[in-house]
Amino acid sequence: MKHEKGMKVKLSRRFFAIFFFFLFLFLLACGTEEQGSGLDYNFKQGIAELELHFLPSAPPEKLYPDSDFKIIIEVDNQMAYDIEEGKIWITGLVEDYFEVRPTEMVLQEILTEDTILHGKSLTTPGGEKVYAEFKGHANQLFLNAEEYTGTYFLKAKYRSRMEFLDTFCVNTHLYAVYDPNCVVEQRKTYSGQGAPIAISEVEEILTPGADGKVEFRIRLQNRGGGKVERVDVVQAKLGGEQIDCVFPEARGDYKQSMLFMENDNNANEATLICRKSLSLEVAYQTPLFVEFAYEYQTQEQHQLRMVR
Amino acid sequence: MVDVQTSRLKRIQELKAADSTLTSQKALEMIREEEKRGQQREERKEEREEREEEREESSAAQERKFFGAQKALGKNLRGGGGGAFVGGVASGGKTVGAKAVGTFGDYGVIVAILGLFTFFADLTGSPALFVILETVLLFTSVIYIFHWRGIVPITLFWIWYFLMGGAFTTDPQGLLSLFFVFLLIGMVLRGIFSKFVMKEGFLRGGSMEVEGLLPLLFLILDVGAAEYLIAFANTFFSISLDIHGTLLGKILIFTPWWTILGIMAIKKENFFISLLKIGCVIYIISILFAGIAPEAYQSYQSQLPGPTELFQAKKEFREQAGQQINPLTAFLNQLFCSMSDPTNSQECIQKKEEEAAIRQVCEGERGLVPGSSLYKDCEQQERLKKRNPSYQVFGKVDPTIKEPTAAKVVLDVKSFPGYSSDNLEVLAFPAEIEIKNPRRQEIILEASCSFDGKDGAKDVEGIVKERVSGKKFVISDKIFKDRFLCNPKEKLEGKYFLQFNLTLKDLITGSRLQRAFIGDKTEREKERLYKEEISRVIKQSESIAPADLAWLSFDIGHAAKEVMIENKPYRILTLRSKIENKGKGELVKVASYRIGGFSRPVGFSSAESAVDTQEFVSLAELGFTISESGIDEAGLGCAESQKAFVPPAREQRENVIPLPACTLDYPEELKNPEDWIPLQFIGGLQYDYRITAKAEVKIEKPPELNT
Repeated sequence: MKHEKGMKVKLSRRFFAIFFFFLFLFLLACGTEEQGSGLDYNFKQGIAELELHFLPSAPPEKLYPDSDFKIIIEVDNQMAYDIEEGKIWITGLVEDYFEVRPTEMVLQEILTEDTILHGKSLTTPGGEKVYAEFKGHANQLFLNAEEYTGTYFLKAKYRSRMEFLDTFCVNTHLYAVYDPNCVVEQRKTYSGQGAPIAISEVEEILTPGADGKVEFRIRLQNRGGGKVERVDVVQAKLGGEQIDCVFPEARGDYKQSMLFMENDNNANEATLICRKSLSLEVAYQTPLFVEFAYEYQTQEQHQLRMVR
Repeated sequence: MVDVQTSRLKRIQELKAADSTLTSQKALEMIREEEKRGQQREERKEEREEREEEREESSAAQERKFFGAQKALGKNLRGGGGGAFVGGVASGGKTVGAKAVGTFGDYGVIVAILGLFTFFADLTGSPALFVILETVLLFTSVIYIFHWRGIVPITLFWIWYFLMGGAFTTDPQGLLSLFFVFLLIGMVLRGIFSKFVMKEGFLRGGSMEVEGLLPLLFLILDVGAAEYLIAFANTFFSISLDIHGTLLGKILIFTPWWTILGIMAIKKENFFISLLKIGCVIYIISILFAGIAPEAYQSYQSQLPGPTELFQAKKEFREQAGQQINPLTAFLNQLFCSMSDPTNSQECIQKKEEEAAIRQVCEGERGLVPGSSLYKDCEQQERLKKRNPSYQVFGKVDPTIKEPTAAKVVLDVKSFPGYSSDNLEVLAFPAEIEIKNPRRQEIILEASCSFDGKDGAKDVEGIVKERVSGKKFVISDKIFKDRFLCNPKEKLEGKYFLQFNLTLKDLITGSRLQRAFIGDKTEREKERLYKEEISRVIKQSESIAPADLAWLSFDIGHAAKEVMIENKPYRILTLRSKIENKGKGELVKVASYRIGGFSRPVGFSSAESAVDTQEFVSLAELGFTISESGIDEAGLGCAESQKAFVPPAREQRENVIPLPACTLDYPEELKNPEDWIPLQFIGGLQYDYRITAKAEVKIEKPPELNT
């Protein structure tokens, strides 16, 4: 019995040792983000969005009847793109208890230097932040209530851009006996372009021959914590030449713009199809560049608590 | 060694005697073979015995460890006598427990049966009994199914939740933090116990306490707090799960959770237990596949968080659903209607529920005989009432107001005189009055009494002396306790019913109702708004008021309890209301009532604001217009009345005074919001209330004194 108990203890110690070893490796692997030299760091990767943080005690944890308070929000653009237009507002507070003025703030009014909230770049590697201050007043509790907790929503809506750039091998001469200059990759995946919407996958379909065509099926996803209202294709080029891109799921005649909610299958995804005819029957590498403009909305739920 | 040699020699001789051709060498080899086989048999026997011992040891180890540990602990804590007592209780409990288990099968059966009873029985009139049953189920599960795992956090939670008013916590994060503290305390204590008493690891013992989360989860689900759990999960995990009206919601709310746990824990197998298991499976399948679920619970939303509020909600819900509060009855109705009239099952169910509610009032409450003309009149009246929209409005208790206005009159029977006297001053019958007035209202008190004769004695009027002659007796204390004396106006002799009346005048109770003005939104957007935002801000769809003696219940919206108000031409906004007597006395007069809201002060700091305190304003002042049909024949308005009236006797009896309904139009700024606008409406009721206490009095002739 003692021997068995000893074995059990030994095993459990080994188990914990192995467990902690792997935990240590895991933690080691999740190191701090390398900033790189700055000059060659590509900010347009991964998923990033506009972040909203409350300043400490703004608002305070507890409010008393007939007292003033402030809600101060740090608006931090962590994307790799500038925000051209945006607003922040508060909704859901029952005014009998909590009044906030103003309820809405436009970013352009808060920004001091210019009207753009800059994203991450060489000049602003940490992104630009600005502070939105809402003044509030706690009114009265109803009758002899002990406390009241009011739920409210902090919302932000903004317009920004996202760029996709990658090199693809285009080869319409598939029957050639010689080695092509490049190999066509039918499917490529991506982890993001530094915005809340991201191109996650591009599928390349080639039609060989004299009337060669290339088709790129681009999967656009909402990977942020909010909602995409609308996405527009600003420009699309294949090797410097215009390429036609449409959202086949878009309703209406104008297919270069898509309301994500139109996608009955998935409100967080859309497919963009870009097609171009190719006159040359050769294999070559060429860049595909697509620029999107989109409207994005986020919301966060918070509470204000009034106590007697 | 010598013995072995001797026995071997003997054995050689025996073998040689049996077989004369056998040489000594061969005989010896045979003997060695025999010995070897014998040894192997012995070894195998030993191994078997060892294995059996180990099995017995491990099965007894569990009980021995725990009860032995209890004994040891008791001994350490209280000395030998205490330890013996604890050990005795433990072993005695073990014997009793074993017998009980033997009788019912095992504790799983006890929990299953008790859980079924708690689920199906109509306990809405007995919240204390419900709490007791849930407590028994909880601790039985923890002790006998989970083998004491989680006992410490569960006990701490129970004490805090039920006894210390922890149930009033509305902050999910606060609740979670507190529960983690309980769990941590439990884990540490269990770890220490495990390490020093049971001689097992600290971590092993501590980790066992986490199992205590399971019975707690079952408790929360069983008391109907599933939606709170979901709201809690939504807040904590930042998700937007909404089970309202969904299949998941139905399963969570309509399942007898303790029964499921009990059945899962049953070790024994017999006909009854198998039947139980099958019954449970059929019930869940019927919810899952046939969509059959007690309709009565569809709109039930647990008040939360306290058990008192839950039972109050259930009681109010019963008033709405009549007899259908009993899920078994509702379930059977559902089954019957789905099979007999599948295309119109909803209408069939509603008709059955209506019939049951009418039966409850006419037969159950009024004692009328079905089929009699009085019964038929009653049926007709009840049907008409059902058509009156004001009756469909129900209010709820405001969970944020823990101290309502209350009054109590208790006759001090022990101090009653027993003998008659010509001196009426001596015949004083005391009544203890207690009034809780947390809002320090100025209440006028009027007391009166009378003696109703019994067994031939004639009625006698009583008098309660004025405190301040010629002036009204006004109190505004937070708690007022006093003693009033009732004296008869004439000599008393015989048996009487003393009736003491205390009338509280100029009481005011407020109620509030929140609504969301959404403008013109698509169905999809409406659904999203409600699920992700509105349901988290406006948690109660009915008007709520403190649990005072009476309140004004009202509803503003397109349909009863519909929180969202849309700007669509085909959707009409209606206001419906009623006055409800929530106490045990009589609503003797309604002085006035108003429905409106609070004014909006401008500015924030006291230096800037035009109005320091909020003022009540009418709906008209808030920009609402009321249709002309909002005034009935009695001159009562739907949104207000300054005309005092005495409620008719019938309405007094039913404790409900319906008020006229009307349609409303609302201001432009609420019609097209970009998002949505929450608005709170306030209802105020001013009334007089009478509380009566009765007691039997026997006054005898005074004994004759011997001179």
